[in-house]
Amino acid sequence: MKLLRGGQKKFQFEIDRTEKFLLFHALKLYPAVPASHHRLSKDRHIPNREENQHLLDEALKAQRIEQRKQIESLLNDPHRFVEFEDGYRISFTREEIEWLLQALNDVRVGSWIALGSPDQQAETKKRLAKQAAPHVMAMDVAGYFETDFLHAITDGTPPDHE
Amino acid sequence: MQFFDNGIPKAEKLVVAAPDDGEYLLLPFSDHGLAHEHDDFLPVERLGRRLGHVELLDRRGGFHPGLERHDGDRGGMGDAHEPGGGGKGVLFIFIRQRSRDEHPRSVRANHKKRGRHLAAVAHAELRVMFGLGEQVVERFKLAGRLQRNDSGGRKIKGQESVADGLKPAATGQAPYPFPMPTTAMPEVLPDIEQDSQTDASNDLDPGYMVICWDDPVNLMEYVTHVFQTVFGWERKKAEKKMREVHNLGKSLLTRESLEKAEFYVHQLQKYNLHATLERDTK
Repeated sequence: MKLLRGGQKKFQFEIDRTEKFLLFHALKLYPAVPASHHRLSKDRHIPNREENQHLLDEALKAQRIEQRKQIESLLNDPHRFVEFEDGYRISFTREEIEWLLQALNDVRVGSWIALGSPDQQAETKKRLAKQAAPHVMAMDVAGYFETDFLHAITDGTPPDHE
Repeated sequence: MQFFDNGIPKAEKLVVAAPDDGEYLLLPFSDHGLAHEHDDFLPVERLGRRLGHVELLDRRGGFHPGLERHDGDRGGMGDAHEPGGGGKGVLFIFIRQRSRDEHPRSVRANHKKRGRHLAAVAHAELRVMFGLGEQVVERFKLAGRLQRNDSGGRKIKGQESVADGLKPAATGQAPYPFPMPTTAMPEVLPDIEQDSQTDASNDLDPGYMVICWDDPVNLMEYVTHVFQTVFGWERKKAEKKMREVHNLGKSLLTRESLEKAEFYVHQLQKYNLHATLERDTK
């Protein structure tokens, strides 16, 4: 994915067909982090800990449902991807990139959890069994696009995917 | 007006004049609370407790004749809104989130004491808190000036009240299918006990630490970006904190009151960072 134009608000990218397929594939996995994964605190003496944990779980759940809808409508917008010879041109606002980053990182973290939360990437590779392969792939694909989007909104320079 | 399957009306978009000192939320209510995502209701009292610093400006609505009361329902919005002794319907309330400075000292102290109102920090969080979709809760930025009238209520310049500014005729919307009762006096929603004396110890909030923990999955660049977004830090500071997380296994990001710490933890977890809050024992 290549950044064509970036500004304060709008960013235009060029994306080839394979990348588009992979981006859609990764985003379809959202949300991947299990519900109630996050804990509010490790401290048992926080006031109203249980209740606040419940509120946090509810809030995160609702946010994911909402974000899922936003991403679906964004990707299903027929005018969003403008086809040309080698692929597509696509524009996102900064806010949309923020949603995408959250969703892609959710897929990355969710895949990592599905792999058993391994400590290092090397360990992940060692454990690369047939069942684990889709999670490893999802993690890497999500990370690939995350890096591209982050570079676009920070300094506009293309990332080194090596 | 459109309805969900459970008979709860969907919020309508109403364009109204707007004050420059705050935003307003338009929430559809049943006769005993906020219409929840499914066939469930959030009683008004709980809404007040959850939101904390919210001022109820006005409410207006009525009961749709075609809707029946649920078994076990209990009225909660007052007789003035229950023509014919009740019935399932809708109330629209207009609330404004007060800035911290506006809270009476006793209210601030009481909230600190309780350590509540997780969602009171940001409007965006309201929607999330209640698990409500866009179709149920709409945010409205009103376009006009807000003035305090003699009785302490709020008025929009040139209009009788906030709710009057939302009359269907003024907005070009179709009229509501139910009668509109007269407007209620402004009041404070939260279940606040009046403190006759200020408890000085409440102002000395013990403080809670927001901690971000290292994990091998979040990209360093991403963590930096999240810190910048959530805390509004400059890149240099965000990078420093990210390196602390990476090298030391964790980093203390900020010390806050409980409710603010909860807010930040929620924001960080929204981005799937491993963040928690811990009591500051020092």
